[in-house]
Amino acid sequence: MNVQDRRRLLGPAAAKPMAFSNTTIHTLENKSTSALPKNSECEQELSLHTGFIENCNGSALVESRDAKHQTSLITAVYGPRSIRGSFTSQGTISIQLKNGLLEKYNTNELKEVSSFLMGIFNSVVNLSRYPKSGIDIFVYLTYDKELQNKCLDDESQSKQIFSQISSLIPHCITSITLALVDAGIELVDMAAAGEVCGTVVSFIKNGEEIVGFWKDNGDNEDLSGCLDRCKEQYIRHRDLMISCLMKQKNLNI
Amino acid sequence: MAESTALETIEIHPINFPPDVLARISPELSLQRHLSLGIRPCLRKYEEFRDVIIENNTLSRYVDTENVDAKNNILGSNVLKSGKTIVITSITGGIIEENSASIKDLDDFGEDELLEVTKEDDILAEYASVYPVVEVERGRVGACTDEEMTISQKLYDSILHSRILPKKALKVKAGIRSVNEDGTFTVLYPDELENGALNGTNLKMKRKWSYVLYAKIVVLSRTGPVFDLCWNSLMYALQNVKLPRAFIDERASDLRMTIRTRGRSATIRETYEIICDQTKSLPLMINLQNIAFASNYGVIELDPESQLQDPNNAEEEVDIDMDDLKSVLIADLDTEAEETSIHTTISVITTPAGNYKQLTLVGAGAKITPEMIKRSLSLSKVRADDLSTRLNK
Repeated sequence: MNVQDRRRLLGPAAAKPMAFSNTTIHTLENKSTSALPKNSECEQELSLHTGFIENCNGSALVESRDAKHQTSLITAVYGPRSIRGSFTSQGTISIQLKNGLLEKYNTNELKEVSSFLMGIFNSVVNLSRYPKSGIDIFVYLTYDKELQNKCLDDESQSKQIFSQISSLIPHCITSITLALVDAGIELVDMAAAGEVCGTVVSFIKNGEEIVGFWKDNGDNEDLSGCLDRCKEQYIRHRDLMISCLMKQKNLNI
Repeated sequence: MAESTALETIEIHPINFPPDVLARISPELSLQRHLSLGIRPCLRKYEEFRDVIIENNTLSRYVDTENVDAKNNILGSNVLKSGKTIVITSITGGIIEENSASIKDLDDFGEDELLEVTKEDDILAEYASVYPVVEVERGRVGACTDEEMTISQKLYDSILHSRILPKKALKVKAGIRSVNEDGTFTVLYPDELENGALNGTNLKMKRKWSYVLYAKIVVLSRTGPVFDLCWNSLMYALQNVKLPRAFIDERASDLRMTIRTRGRSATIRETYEIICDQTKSLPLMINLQNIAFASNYGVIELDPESQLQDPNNAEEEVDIDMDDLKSVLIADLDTEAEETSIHTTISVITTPAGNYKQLTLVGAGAKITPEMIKRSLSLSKVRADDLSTRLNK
């Protein structure tokens, strides 16, 4: 592989990325895990902002923090803007997920998630209102770090990452919904989701309708119990979104 | 008949636009109207800069010195917010093996004359740069834009020529990891030992490495030219970079074997990985006195025709001398209107002490007078002085 992108300054080809040792971390790991409180189920702190990016139609920032990890993602909505080519009776949505500062997830994972999100928002956005136009959504995973410093062997590490990306999905849905509202795009209802052990269920209409279902290989056999817990989280996220938007509106008046 | 009467009765109605619509239709006119009031479309004064809010090192692996984030490979970071634009800079690193055969080491090096010629190059060869990749988010996918490429290249060149990053600072002072009798590992660093168990000669390594720094600069919400913001953000980020200590295994420190093929003998050196320490790090020693900050200016001629006039004494000001165009200096260009209508620009990079690193003048349209250059230089110094104090907060 001697092909280098000549358009970007990527540095000397012979340079190797820094590889950090695993052996020296063990002492560190013990210290950090013991220092953390045991109640990992404790409440998530969510903070929502909209409309801070100037050169797009709508934007949202979602930051969440709980005992396990801290996430921040920025969503920008561009559109509805005209598309080239022949007439289409409905608008088309495209969603791009981008690795932020920590290049953590590979492109396949991100593509999988973005196509899942596309499925949700194709049914949530009132697409028939936007003929011959495209709505482009960019989700930028600014950072996503674990607060617990765990050193895992390779097998469990891959599992860990897999469950992490599913824990990101509800936040992606929240931020896309907020950004779409900020852009003034017509939605059927506010979509939000909840996540339990790698299973993500996304609802609309007060939990009466499921618009998306994602399952990772977590040991989650009790589906109805899982649904109920996701619904609780959905209601919480939705209420937060609505109160955030109302506050924003009151500020603007 | 009907046609002719229709022609006669045509009236021209002046159309009024709200200011924000006018700004979209005719940014030039909107800008001139604003300037005639003594302000700019962004409601700043001519020589007023945007405020800058920075957040240093919050994303790096060394945020918490007690508890290093193991999965994070960012060595230094900065988030800069100026006006509505947000610039996120993160610096990561790599390690490259140096070529041991540098020109000076060769026996058959040319004459003194050649040495003189290359001397100037040599001064620059003492310095390195970072490899920046700038991404300006504008809702498109695909190849990088011209702007991104130009800014990246300009950042690279400016850092190199500002002599901020000496190559010496990027040298890896590699340690050696050895396995103790009980199976545990210890890492020894030559500069940490003081006449300890190992002396310098034992640790002398033939191979040399140096760090390579990469900067990823993401610009969100671009509203105007962004080179200055990227540069300033990179300056802040560079100042808080910490380089991890690196080590190699003891048995690999100088392993070579001789092989013989077709009557020729050659030595093969074992390839081995250089590994970075999880917790130990050293601050990057940059030339602090060369840390400079960028600012930009535009020059625009005030168009007398689009001046907003006081309706009461409009009569008096009919006589405008069209040859005597007054041009003004505008600091810190922002907004689409200014970017599209101001083509004459001055961009300055200077240290707070007034050590000027770069000056770019682009004359297109409006005339740059020596006074304006002087003014922009002195403003840049004040600005750099102000920006440099932000780091300590």
